[in-house]
Amino acid sequence: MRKLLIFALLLLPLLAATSLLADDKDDKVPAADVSSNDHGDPVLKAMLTELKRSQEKLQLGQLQRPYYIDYQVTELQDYAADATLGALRSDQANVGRFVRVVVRIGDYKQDSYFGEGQGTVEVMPMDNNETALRHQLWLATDKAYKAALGGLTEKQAALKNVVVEHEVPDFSEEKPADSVRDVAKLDVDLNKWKEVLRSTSNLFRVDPDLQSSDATLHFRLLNRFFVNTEGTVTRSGRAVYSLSFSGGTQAADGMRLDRSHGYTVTKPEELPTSEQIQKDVQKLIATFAELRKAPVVEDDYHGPVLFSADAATAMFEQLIVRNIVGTRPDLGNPARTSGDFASYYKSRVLPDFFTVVDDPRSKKIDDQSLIGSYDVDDEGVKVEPVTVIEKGVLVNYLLGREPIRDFIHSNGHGRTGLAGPPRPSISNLIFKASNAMSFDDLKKKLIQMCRDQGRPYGYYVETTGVRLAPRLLWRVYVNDGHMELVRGAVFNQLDTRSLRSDILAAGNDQYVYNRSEPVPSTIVAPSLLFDELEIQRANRARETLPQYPAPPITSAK
Amino acid sequence: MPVGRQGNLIVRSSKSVPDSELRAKLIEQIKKEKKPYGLYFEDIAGGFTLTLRNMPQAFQIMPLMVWKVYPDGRPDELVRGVDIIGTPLAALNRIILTGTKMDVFNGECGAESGSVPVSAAAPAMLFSEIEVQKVAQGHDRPPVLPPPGFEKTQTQTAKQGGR
Repeated sequence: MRKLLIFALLLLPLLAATSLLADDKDDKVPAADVSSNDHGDPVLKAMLTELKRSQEKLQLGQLQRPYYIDYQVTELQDYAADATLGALRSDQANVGRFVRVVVRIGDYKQDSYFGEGQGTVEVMPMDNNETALRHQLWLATDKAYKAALGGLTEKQAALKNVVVEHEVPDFSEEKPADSVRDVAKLDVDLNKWKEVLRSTSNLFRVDPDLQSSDATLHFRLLNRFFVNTEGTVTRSGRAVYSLSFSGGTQAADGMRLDRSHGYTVTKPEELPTSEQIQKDVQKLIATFAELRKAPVVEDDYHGPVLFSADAATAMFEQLIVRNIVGTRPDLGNPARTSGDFASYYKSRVLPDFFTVVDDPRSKKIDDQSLIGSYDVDDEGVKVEPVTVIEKGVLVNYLLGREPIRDFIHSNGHGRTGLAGPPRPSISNLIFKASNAMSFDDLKKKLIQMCRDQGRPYGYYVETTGVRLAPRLLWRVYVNDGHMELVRGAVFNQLDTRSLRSDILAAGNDQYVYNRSEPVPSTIVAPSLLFDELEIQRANRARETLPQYPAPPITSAK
Repeated sequence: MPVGRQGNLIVRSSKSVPDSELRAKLIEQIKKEKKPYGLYFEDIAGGFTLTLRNMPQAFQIMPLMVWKVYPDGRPDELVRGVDIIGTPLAALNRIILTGTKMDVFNGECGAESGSVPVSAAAPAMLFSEIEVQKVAQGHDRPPVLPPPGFEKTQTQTAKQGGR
């Protein structure tokens, strides 16, 4: 009896492995071929050589061979520093190279990209030494292959427990791309910029009631090399230069008041001049005094609200961006995507005068560079502009190579920040209204609506902070059009429903919001007039003021 | 929070023999104890001691180079997969004698208050008895393909010394 039991136990792992065993067809080298053109680049050369060897020879015993392998090497140079009251507070440099290896076994319909089979990340040598580079690729590929064998078993086991309503392939079939661009170089004098941080942060000395203030820089350069067994070879370089400053204070009643201002650009020459920074800092500091003495919003307001283009981009970022990406829900979940717009395909999500296009090819709007631009995404798929919302109707999702129901091809939006798995992301998301009017006309319209409704004032949101809480919120008075700054307000029920039904008109202005996280991307939107929104007092506990004043700060250094 | 930590820990011995005689003393001890072999720990990777009240006060040392030393003149045999374990008071009481040459270890020591730079200096030591255990070992398969550049040759093993 005991012998029998042992025999049965021995047999178990064998049975579990049967689905992984190679069929006859797997003995052949897959049809697609690794590119032989390394464009004279030593990193690409090492990648292509090791990729070809892995494609031709990688097989563990009688188990399945990979049907697809890709290597993504990311080279990072990252500098961050910050200063407060004229003194440098942190100064960090982070330089390195990583590789992410994905090995897929199975086929495009069902493969091992699941659980542990979603790729392996390793640190790569920084020198262009072919032996050292290939050695690390070899080990990472081996690890990713073994993980893929586990991933496929895990996925097949998970699939046995759920009912799959819609059969959607696991991986989209795409044309190979060959796009080798110049690598980027960080082209700045860091010492000069640290001096700018000192002088910028020093400007905050004029306001003794500021409890915190700083000036921060973050310069990041990413060079990316990508090859796969379908024949794709890409190389791209990207630099993002960010500079920002911020301050925080407390009103006499303890309410915390924060402001910040930033610049995010793709070229150092687009960073602001010292004069420009000084002007913007002074403008920001002036608002602290205004905010401290501004009245607190007390009563609930349900009525017309005007959003600046700046505030509109922040709102669209919160309410639209995560819902238009085609992210596949968990196994067995019949939804099309995991966002709020999962069931809104071909339905209205914005007023019919809005069209929204994601355009990675667009590089500039007016004089401002868009940081979300690229030619080929992080999965090696070439891009074209995608109309996501047409006349208010959701007509498309942004997709990487993981298909969702009815969308079996990538449209070049699989992107990753550093070395994580690529996920569908926006590039340059541009909101345009067909019936746009000037900002002044929008303001007039706001006043007219409030007058018709017998209100003494309407609201204008100039800029917002965390969770869209307004930082600069103005009452616009009906009698003479003057504006009064107020504080301590939040929106209630500002959600995708209000976007669909409450936007009345849009401006012909546009704000370019460049954001470096989670991936460099841009949101461009005009100012907006809402028919009705709810504004109410923020009910948050307030801390008492500091027990004794700050040490004396003079405006001179 | 700072806690009491080692600085330069220097261990000196009042009962020592020249290092060249240590091996003979070891073999003498093996014979006396009627053991088939003794162990020579040439190098270690590191170790740790549990010092919390709610844990056993035990230590573990992970050797890198361990040799079986036979009393009958056979050559020493390199072995692997051995850890030294024990409790500090019992183990330290079994030092019979030491060598004369001091060796210095400079490194990082980790504890509740983080990693701090420390030094330790001590001579070679002969223990009458020490407890060892088998190391838990992984069963990962070696890489499927040979390393790049070694597709046609067997992997070479180092013949020269070095850690």
